[in-house]
Amino acid sequence: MDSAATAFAALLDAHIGIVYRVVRTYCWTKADQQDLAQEIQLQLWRAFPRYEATRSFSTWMYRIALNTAISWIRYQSVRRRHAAVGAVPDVAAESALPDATDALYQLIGQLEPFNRALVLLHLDGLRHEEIAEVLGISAGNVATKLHRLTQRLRTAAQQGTT
Amino acid sequence: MNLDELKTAWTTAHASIETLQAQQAMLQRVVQQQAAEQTRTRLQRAPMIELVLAAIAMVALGGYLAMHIASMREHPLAALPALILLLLSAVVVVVSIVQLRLLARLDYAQSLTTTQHTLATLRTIRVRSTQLLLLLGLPLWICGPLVLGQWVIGYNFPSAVDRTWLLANIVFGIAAAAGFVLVAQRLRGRSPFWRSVSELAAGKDIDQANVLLGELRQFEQS
Repeated sequence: MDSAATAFAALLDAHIGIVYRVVRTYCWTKADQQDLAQEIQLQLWRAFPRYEATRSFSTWMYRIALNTAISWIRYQSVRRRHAAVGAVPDVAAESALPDATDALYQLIGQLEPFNRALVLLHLDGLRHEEIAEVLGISAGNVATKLHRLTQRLRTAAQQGTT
Repeated sequence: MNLDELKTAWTTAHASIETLQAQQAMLQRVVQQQAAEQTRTRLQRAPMIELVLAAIAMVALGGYLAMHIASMREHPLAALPALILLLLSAVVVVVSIVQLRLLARLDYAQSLTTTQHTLATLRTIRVRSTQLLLLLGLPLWICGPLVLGQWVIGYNFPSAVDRTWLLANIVFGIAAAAGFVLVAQRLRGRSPFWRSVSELAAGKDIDQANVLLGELRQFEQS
């Protein structure tokens, strides 16, 4: 492996959790999760020569991972429409995660793709300015949206428990 | 449950799983790195092929027109089929260049809204250009045999055939295009090919791109 590949592997190792969480947020079956994880790593590797080491690797990685995930789910929906796939996979049966985590992902999964990204970034502990940079909206807009999403998630969680 | 409680549950749930995932990801990486260096994206392939084919067609048609310039001065109508094909090729070249320029600007490391906006624009241009070629290409199919005939045999077909014959063939081309779309709609449930043609004609992918643009607009507003 050359030095770029070694550096890439080291950075990816340190931040692999981002790939995992993005994949879990946008895909429900193991097969889809593996496909998307591969696609994200492929895009990360392609974009790596343009990565500036002075900037935050995790923010850069979030942008690529989320862009790839949103494009991938849209491409998959077109592909499945064209292939006339009828059966929807049994999500619960394929999940390998504890129930509580699954419930969290299902709650977030009810949101639209861009709002899902926003909640994921917030849950991962990014500051509003960092979230704004990843999403391409203002920090003020991030705060407003998070406030609204809190209400929505609270209502959804209450409906789920009753 | 509020977002802070959700955040605590999120952090706890992922702490144990990430180690396992990291090990799995390590195994896949070497293979993916090799694949990434060889693969062109599916988005780039189609406009590149179209650009090359259209550029070849333009050069060939330019040569053809230059070769027959003397006879075309006597019968200007004879130049029409080749000029129509030249125009269609030029449109394909321009549309392909626009797509490739957008693709060159496409960077997944840009913000979500910027990248997804570029992707939606690309999808719209792609579908619209295919629809345009389908709509113009089928009615104007007769230009191809006329140019080829003169090129290969050397006989000036355009000046030999009368206007009624030409008009009848263009009408036939329009009817064939409409029939093709109609057949695609009828057979859309039978195969992915017919489904694709039917959805292309109906502009379903454009609807999807518009949905994405609408979602983006809504998301960008506070």
